[in-house]
Amino acid sequence: MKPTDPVDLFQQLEPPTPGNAEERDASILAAVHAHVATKQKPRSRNPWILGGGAVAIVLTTAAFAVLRTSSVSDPTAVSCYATVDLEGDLVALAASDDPIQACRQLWIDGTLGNGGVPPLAGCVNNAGAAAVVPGEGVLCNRLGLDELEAGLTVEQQTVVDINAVLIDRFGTECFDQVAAVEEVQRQIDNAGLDSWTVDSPEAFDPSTPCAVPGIDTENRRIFVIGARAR
Amino acid sequence: MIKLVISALVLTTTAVGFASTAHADTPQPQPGDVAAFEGRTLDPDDGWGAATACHVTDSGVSCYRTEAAMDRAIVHIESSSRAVDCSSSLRLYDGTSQTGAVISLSTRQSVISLSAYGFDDRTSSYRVGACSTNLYNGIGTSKYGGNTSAGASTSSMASGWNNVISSISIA
Repeated sequence: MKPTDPVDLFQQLEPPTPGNAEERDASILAAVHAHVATKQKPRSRNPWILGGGAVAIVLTTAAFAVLRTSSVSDPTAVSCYATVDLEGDLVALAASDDPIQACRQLWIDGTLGNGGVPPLAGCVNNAGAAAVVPGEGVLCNRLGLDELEAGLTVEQQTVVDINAVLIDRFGTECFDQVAAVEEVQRQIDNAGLDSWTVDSPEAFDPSTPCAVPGIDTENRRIFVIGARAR
Repeated sequence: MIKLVISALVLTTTAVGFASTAHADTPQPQPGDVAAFEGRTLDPDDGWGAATACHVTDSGVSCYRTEAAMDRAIVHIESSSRAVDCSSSLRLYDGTSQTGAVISLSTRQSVISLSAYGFDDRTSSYRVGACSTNLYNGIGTSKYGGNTSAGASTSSMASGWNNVISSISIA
């Protein structure tokens, strides 16, 4: 049976007494010095392991520098550029599951270019949206942008879907300000976008009594404005 | 196993691989065709990788990781072909008199923020397409008072409105 009395337990630790304290301190000091000496003893390493580690670090760093990628934070916009110049001409598209394919279609139908489809590179612009430019390889990084990672998060896909639903609903029916806010809230609830809100920043103008929705992904907000005649 | 949906105006079918039995008038994938998949190009002869569903149209083959993703894409394509886009686009120009870089927009019934396209505060002239348009200083607020009805154009913005347009909506 193990002793449980605190005094018995303390005595089992053999605490130093006035007579043996110095002797025990010296013994502990010697043990510490011996341990430190052991730790400082140089150990030989396989040079191949050292070299391999260095190469791995260099390659990892190089790969990170070349393939800087990210996903979009704003899934509702796709910019299709006519040239590699980010200050140049572009066609603005709404959300797409596959921005590169969406822009490729513009090259196929002649909206961009004069025939032929160049290689296209998907990037993420400074606003966090997809930007597709003619080119390939590490073009995005050379332009100071991240390469576009394919795919959307569940929430982003839901936002893309609700955007399509709202455009369809508000394009076929005239919602006044109150009804528009209610309709957007209903769609938000249906989509399960719990952290999203709806608002209507200004009173509708009588000349444009029908609501048009907009999506503010940065603030997780859908707003409605009066922008369409009845 | 990969699911293949071939779209034409009247026919949608599902088949396995490229062994489709679709009607002869519908677009048919041919040996040597390539398919778009998440920004890359797939050669079916080399295998499908992570793609499990493909959509074949006149303009090409697009593949997706899941059938659900393909269904969503088809919905978007079909809704786009209805009335989401204006038949001719709104064009905003970086320079006066329709010069300089131009952004072309045609999505209707939505407030579009120009910052997402890198064109915030750049508009110095415009040409409206077939659908009347609103231009805003803010995001859907502070509407431009100039003529933006269908077919309108201007070589310069009204006083105080140069390089301040931040969003638009196309009716």
